[in-house]
Amino acid sequence: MGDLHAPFSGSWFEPARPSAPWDTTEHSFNTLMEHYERLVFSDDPDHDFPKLDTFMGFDLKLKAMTSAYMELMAAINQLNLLNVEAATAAFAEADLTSLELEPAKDRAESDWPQVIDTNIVEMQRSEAYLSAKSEYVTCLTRFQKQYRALLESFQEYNHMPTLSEYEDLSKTVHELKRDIWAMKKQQS
Amino acid sequence: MGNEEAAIMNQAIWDIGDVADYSSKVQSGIDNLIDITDADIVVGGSPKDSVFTVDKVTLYKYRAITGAEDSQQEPILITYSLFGRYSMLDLQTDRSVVRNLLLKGHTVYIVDWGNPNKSDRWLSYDDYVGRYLSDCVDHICGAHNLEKISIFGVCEGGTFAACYAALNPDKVGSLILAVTPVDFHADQASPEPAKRGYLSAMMQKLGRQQLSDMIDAYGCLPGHLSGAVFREMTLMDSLKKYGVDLVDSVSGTKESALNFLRMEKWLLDRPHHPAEAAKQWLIDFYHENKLVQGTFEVNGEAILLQNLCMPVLNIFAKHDHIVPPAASKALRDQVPSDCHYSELELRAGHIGAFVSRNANAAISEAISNWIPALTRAPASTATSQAHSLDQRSA
Repeated sequence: MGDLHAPFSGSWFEPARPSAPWDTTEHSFNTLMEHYERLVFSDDPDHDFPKLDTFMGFDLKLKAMTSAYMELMAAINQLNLLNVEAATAAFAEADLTSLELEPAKDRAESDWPQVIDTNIVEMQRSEAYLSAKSEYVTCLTRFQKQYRALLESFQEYNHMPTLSEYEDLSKTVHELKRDIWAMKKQQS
Repeated sequence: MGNEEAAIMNQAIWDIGDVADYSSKVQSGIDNLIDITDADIVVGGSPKDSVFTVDKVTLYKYRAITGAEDSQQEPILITYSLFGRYSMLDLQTDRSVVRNLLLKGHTVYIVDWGNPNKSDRWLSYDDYVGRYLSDCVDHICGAHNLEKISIFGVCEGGTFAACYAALNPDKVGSLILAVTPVDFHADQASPEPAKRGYLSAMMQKLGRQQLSDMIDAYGCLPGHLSGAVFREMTLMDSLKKYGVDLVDSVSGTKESALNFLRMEKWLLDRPHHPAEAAKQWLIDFYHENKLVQGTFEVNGEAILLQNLCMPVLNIFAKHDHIVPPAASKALRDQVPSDCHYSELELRAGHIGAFVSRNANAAISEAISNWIPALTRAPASTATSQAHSLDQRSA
């Protein structure tokens, strides 16, 4: 039995026949999807695709935001990993078999949290953690920028003011307020 | 029954008792949470009146307390940080620096920076120090017919106060700073990791552009983001507080549960920090350490700590994980040699300095003693009033 999910891939065992119109349509569609996927799912994050029209502008922003979100999640996981490593390091080194029940309980209530806390505090000042934090900030910023760009596209297409436009306006108002304050001070 | 069996039985009995205790606490905690309403959790409840407003900033004057001591000292203006609410200084009746000062007869003003939103993103130190704080001081001086008043700044509010005092030394009778960073890199030389501030290490690791881009992306420094960083710095405490310790915190008497809930209400109420001022705080101060270098400017004027010629009381907390003592103590080497400068070290943390009973009482007493008399007392009097403090020789 042929692969039901790939009806056009097993034609080698069938006798040659003239192309049917639906074959051509399917082929064209597949080709189109192939090109589309090549464009939209390109692995090159630095490539600045031309924003050709409304759809593509929105589409690429959505893609960029999704990509930034994945990177942000990876950065958060890295930070969590370092925290968990620091928190469990003390347990990894301890010989739990030699501990009696009651003293172990006491330790769990007093010493262990302190040991974990000390480990985490030290780890948070390490180069590895600070680098991971730096990566997190970069990813967080990229995600927020892409998220904002996507929303601003939506706002523009729907006749709504964007945050960037609002910032322009608020800057003007802020400068005016400062000028008025300075003039009042001069007069008094 | 053998010894081994007896030990197991004893352990089992102990465990059952433990579970019963825990169950009782859970019941008590649930009863408290059902009984307590949000309106019961009052933070910053000392009566006060709005006496001046500009933009979102409000200057409050606290009402005098009947039966308070008689004081003939300068009014005091309190400036808090933009990262939290001023109500920390008046958390509850028995843990209130404000109330303690009122009981000693002081005239107390406080600045409420309001709720900055994205329309305030352009506000910078030029505005907070050069306009808002300046207007508040002028208003108080005008209301009392005075040339100068005392200013008490906390954390970033202390940096505001120090900048203002450096620019306007003639208007500040005395300056009191609490948990205020001055040399933002001073702690990084400590060999003990725990004494090296996390914020300083992180801000030095991040690039200027990186920090600027992050703030621009949000249009502010969101309160939830700064809150998350503060929680991250005490990760285990945060996990325990909302985990194993939670039952203890909300159980017991209603008043003890309210103590916990008031603190939590304050902690979770973090305003957004306006973008431009946040850039100055994180980049100019934390990343580039401009305050001690004398290169930080407000309205084009350099802030020179050498101009702090008024009596200065510098309060810091020994266990402060946000502003390590070294970052505050650095002020000692920045003020002019003839400045009457004193230090008070509290055995508390950044917030505990204001809310723990002992530290709260100590800080109030020290501030009260430091405020000069209305008829300008000679500097030597101010020194003798602060005899309990670690006085630096002039």
